[in-house]
Amino acid sequence: MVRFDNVGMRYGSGPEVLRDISFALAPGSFHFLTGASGAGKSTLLRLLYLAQRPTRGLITMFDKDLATLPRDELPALRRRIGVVFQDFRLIGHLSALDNVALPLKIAGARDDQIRDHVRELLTWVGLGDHVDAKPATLSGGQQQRVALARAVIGRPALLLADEPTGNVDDRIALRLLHLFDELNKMGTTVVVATHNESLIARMRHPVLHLDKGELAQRAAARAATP
Amino acid sequence: MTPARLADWWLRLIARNDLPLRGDDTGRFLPWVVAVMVFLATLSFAAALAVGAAANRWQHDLSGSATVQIADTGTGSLDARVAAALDLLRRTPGIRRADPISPQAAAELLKPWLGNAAALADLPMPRLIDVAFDTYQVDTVTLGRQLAAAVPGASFDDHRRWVEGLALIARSIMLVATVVVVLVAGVAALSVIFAVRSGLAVHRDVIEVLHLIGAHDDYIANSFARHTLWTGLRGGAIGSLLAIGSLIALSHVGRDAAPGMLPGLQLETLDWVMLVLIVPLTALLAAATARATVLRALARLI
Repeated sequence: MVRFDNVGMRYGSGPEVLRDISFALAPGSFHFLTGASGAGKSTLLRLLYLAQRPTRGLITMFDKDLATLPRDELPALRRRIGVVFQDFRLIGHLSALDNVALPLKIAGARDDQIRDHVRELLTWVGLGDHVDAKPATLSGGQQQRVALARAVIGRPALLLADEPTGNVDDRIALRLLHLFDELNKMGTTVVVATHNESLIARMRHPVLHLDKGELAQRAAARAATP
Repeated sequence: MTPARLADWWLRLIARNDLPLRGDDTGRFLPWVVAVMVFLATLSFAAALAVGAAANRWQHDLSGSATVQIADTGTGSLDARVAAALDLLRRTPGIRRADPISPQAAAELLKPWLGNAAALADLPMPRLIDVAFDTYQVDTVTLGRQLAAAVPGASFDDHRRWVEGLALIARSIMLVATVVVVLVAGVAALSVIFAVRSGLAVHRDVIEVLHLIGAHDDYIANSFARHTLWTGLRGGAIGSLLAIGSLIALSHVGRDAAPGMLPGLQLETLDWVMLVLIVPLTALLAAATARATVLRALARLI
């Protein structure tokens, strides 16, 4: 599903923040992405959710070579990827329902098809009573669940989450990870970037460990499908 | 376009925007800029239409007619010379009518400029003959020479100088009006570009989120275009109402203050329709400019 071959990434003329990254994610797999601050986790995630192109190396996603993929084909690829951003990035003037409905609306779905589906999903993440609430009136945990619902409403093949447990207590963090687990069991490939070692230990999923911009051999050997 | 597609287009047009463009400050003054631009464009265009119509009317009235003037040289009978000129004119093929204008009628014509007709009696007034051509094939240059040779003091004016002058004035005014309309459109487009660029900067985060969850550039650009279209229609309507009100007031003032002196604002129904069409055209121009600006900016993202 996803393959990185000797990928390198630098911003402008600065130093390489990712070096010689090679790994593959099999369909339906679940990986944690770990590493100290500044190790390159966010950059790797940005490459995965197609916010950047690598400065060198090859990335293949959904059997498409990103280096040769025309720009106007990227949106269709992005719709197959759900992202839970670390800072949620909900749209402030839209209700929870409208935020979650956005990917479907963008994909051109009709309003009457969207609303019931979105309500159902918000109920699944425990926000059935908050469909009309604006993000500013929701707690951090609730906003995170809205962000999760927005990420999965389009039934993505690949779900990426950047520090989803960073702003919530362990009980909610565990609940969130169980939600990811449920989605993974339904066939979604999941990558969760986190610092939370205790959660990683509990979930027993393979780990991609980044150290100073390089995929550590130990973690890479454990985690990635070669 | 089928009714269903039209309804779908309308619903999308009035749908709530994913970008909070309505509540921000980036385009707060844009409706007023558009209002001023539409006001100026409407006045310029109306002036061009009015002048063009007046010039056409004058040109139509003057073409196919001529005036023979027989000066009071102080020698010989003026009436005899008028009769000789009439005789020559009426014998010339292609001339439908040649009628002398009485001294009283000539004095009435000059009254707005020279005052009371009684005072004109002392002036050496020329005699005038109004000539109408049957066809436009009359060789006016030869006719003028023949008249000058046969009738002392006679001069022939086929109004060509006037007609050409009027056409030049009309063309000049229409050119200036066109330049004004183009400049106004350019300033409106520049204002839209600046407002949209500010909007792009202010809503950068939201735009990036839309982009990352799979929005095509068109989706984001159309959001800006829809918002700008409404802004343009709102501002344009204000400017158009003010301009049309001013034109109606001007036409009343011109008619009452100087009757007969000014051509007046004589616009046909089609002219008014064209003036009102400036509003949607401006709004469409603004929307297209906004769309192009956003597409150009988004092309820099991956």
